[in-house]
Amino acid sequence: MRRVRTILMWAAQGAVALLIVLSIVGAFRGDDKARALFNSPPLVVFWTALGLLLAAGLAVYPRLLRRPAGLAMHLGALLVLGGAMWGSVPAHDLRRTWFGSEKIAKGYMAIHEGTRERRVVDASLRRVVAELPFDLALRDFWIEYYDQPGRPWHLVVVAPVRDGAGHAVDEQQAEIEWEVGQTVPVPHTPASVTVLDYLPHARPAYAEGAEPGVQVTAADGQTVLLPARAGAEAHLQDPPMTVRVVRAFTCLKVRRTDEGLEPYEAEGEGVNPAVELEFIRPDGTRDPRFALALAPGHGRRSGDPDFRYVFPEPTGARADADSRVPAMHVRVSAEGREMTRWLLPGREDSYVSLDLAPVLPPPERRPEGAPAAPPDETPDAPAPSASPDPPPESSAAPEPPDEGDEAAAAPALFLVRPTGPIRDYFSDVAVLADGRPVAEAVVEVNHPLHWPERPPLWRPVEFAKWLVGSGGYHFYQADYDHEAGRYTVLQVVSDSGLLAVWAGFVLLAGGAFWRFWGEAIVSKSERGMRSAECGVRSAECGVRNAE
Amino acid sequence: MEIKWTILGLAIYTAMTLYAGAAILFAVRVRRVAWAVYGLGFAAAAAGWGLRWVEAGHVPLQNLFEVFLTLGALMFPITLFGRRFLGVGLEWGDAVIGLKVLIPAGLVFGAEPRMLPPALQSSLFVPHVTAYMVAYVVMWKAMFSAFGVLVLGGERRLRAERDTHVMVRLGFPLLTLGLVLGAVWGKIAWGDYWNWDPKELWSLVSWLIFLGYFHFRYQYGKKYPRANASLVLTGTAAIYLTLLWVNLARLFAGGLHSYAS
Repeated sequence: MRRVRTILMWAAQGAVALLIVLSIVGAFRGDDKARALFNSPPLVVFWTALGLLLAAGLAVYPRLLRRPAGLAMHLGALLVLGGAMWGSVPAHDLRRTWFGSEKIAKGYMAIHEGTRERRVVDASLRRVVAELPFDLALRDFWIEYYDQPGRPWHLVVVAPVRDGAGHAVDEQQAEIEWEVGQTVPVPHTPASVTVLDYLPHARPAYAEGAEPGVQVTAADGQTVLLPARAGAEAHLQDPPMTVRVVRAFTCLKVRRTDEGLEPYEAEGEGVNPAVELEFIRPDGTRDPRFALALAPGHGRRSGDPDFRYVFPEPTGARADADSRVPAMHVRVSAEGREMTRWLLPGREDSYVSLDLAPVLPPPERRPEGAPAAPPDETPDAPAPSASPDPPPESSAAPEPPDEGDEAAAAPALFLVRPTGPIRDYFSDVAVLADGRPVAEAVVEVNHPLHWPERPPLWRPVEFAKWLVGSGGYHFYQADYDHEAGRYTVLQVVSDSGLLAVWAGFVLLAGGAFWRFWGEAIVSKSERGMRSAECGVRSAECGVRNAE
Repeated sequence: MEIKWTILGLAIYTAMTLYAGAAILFAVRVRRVAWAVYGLGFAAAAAGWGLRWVEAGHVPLQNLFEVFLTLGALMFPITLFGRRFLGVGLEWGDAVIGLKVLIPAGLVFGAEPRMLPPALQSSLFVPHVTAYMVAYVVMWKAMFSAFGVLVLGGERRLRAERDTHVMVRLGFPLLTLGLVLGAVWGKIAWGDYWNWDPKELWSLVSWLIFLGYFHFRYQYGKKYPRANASLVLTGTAAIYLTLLWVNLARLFAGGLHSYAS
């Protein structure tokens, strides 16, 4: 047996040495190549052998079984190894091939705001690799930045660079140094801009009496606007039904109760405005629906009329200390034309733009090779000055682009959030089973969503069912739409084997502390007690020591 | 070289000077004064560390400047603990380590505070990095004893071997905790508890070397003290590489831990 133990110990030392060498090789080659190396078939043999060595060690070293710390460390390593192998990509592939398992190890989901998705794609976001048995709906995606106290938003101009024929071939941009009350030229354009007012924290201002509501459009084109007030109702012809507002929320949240999911009004005005509707059919059936301001189209089913939460048109801006966005009142003038507008970004927007085409002369067009024309003359059109100011939407409406020109061919002013470091990314998602929301979560870095939820261990039957049903998935915030922030990319990762790995970690770390700290403390304490005992009964101890 | 003409820089340079003085005083056996100077050096390093916390708005463990500053402040408590509870001396070596880890903080790395990126905003950030930092300092203390095993003879070698073993026993559970907490955090933040990232692999290498040390010592005890000491020295060399890999990685291959540079 002693010889077996010696051989086993040297084999274990050899395995540790080999793992050290392979880890160094992997570290020099980078994570992608290291991952491929450690998941390659020869390494699968190595991991299996390492597991067998650990098991054999427990078998031939009875001392390990007698000492809880040593047992915990070796058992922990075995569990980590087994759990990691069970949850690995090759193990998932094998289970798919041999047992028809539909679970995948990992993939990605790209979900647009206001839509639902169940397809899992590969890292290219193009090839579908699996479908989940439930949907994820993205209600909202946003990015939060570190506060930049005292830093006003940047005013930037983006203007096209034109070729000899007058076509936009590139873009150029410049920041405008601005101060309230000053008129400064707009670079790359003949225009100048005057900042009339700047509110660091602002909200849209509406005409008196204007209120948000729900716009319902029937199949025959009939459109009604219901105010967001409980009791408001309207009748539709096609399909024939009555639409009634049950409740209005300024910040809708959903919580789980014993009876199921319950919507409620949460603190935080304007964070998630919504209206609970009822579609009352001629036969008396009532179908509940929710119109969410942040997720148009969410919850609409086949046969439903189109319904969406709408805000009234703003007439300007007002200061509001709770708002995270500013508002800038500007007057732009060029060659006799002038317009006055509010630049008012949306709640989560990082910029808002103002098309300068209405005040600028049209771009010069000439055939290829034609000589350049003299500077434009002042246009005859009257200046579209506005007082009171029209809403930002109408001010930003660009003229239709000329045929063959780029969409962004007209110069534009942008009010841009100071680019501080990103604090976090957020995806507000709902899990839908058979089209009905069964859970909701805000996925952010360090806060993944886990679904289906793992039942607690003290409900063993449910827990066993969950485990046999091969567990669930974690959804991680992975990427997003860098252009417009309209979609999110979640990484989908199987949780197979994870419980074993967690248990292994606890045993490994707990065993290490007990083995190297705990045993020493206990032993020192016992020595101390013996020494104290000897102090009391010195004669007896003296005899024992002599023996 | 980046000289810091700030109060924080002044605290670091004061600590460096006092640590250097303490090392000399310990070496010439003026122990009482040496302890006082060493303690003052710690006070300066700890003040710098606290100042940095206020300045940065988070526990200063984000980048290599903050990490080395933390290591410099950790050395004195470890020396005190080693002397008081474990009977391990070599205080002059500890003062030298304290000086050595403050040099990169004072003269190499920039001190521009940075906001925590999303991945670092986790309750595991402080325990994970702290476990590693304490483990590293303990293992470096073990390194000095291990040198002693190689160069000393007779009783003094036996004493050094015992000190080495005691310090590695103190540091290894912390090294394990750092590794496990990092894996748990990796799972929560990135979706995988192990990403085969170069820094992860180097930390595994350090852990495995000390694991090999314990198995070797279990098998042969004190029969081959030089071999035991060599394993400890190899382990501490791997720790240096783990700590500095994010910078060396620019020459080889990057990874998920590149924000720490």
